[in-house]
Amino acid sequence: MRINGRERLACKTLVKDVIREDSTEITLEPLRHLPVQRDLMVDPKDFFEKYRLVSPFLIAKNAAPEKGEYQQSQEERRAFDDPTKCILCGACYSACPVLDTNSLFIGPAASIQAARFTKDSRDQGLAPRMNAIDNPNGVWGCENHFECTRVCPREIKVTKAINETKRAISKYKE
Amino acid sequence: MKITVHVQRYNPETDPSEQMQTYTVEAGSTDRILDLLLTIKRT
Repeated sequence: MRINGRERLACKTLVKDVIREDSTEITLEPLRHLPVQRDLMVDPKDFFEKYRLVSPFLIAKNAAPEKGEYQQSQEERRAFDDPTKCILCGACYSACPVLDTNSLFIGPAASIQAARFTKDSRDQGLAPRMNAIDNPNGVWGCENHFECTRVCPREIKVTKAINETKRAISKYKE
Repeated sequence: MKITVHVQRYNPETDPSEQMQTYTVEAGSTDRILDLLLTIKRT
């Protein structure tokens, strides 16, 4: 929800961290860009539809190993260490200024899921996700306002990951 | 300490518009925002 105008987790945010010496007032509002159902509760349908659009699951490059699990080097695993921290709280989706004017933009959370799987060495990467992300409402909709990065409670470098995905798409199409 | 909480309320069954409602609650130094909401809900 929005706490004093900023997207934060009510279950994590301490009262003492949002009040000031001169003001003990706190304003609580629902997330933006999603229809309010009741009081502070929003309908996350659009959020999750856009999330599913980017196929947020492993699309394996190679057949499953006969024994055991897929092998990955520490470096390969580290490549998606940051985007895999997402808890789908919707803070970035609410904070994103692009969604004020373009409700079709898939948003930061869906973009970060695309980054999560395209950076995974076991995954087919961009190919199966180009339809969803390589268009004006996909990752190209991002205008680098950095609001998602500012509000993310998991401190994911969202905007950076979106820009890396943009670069990867350009390279892929060469 | 006494905290003034403004909460956006909305109930489409009784009123089609959203409005702010203000509550005064007692909060401890380790309370989270969720604790304030639970206190409001219980009283």
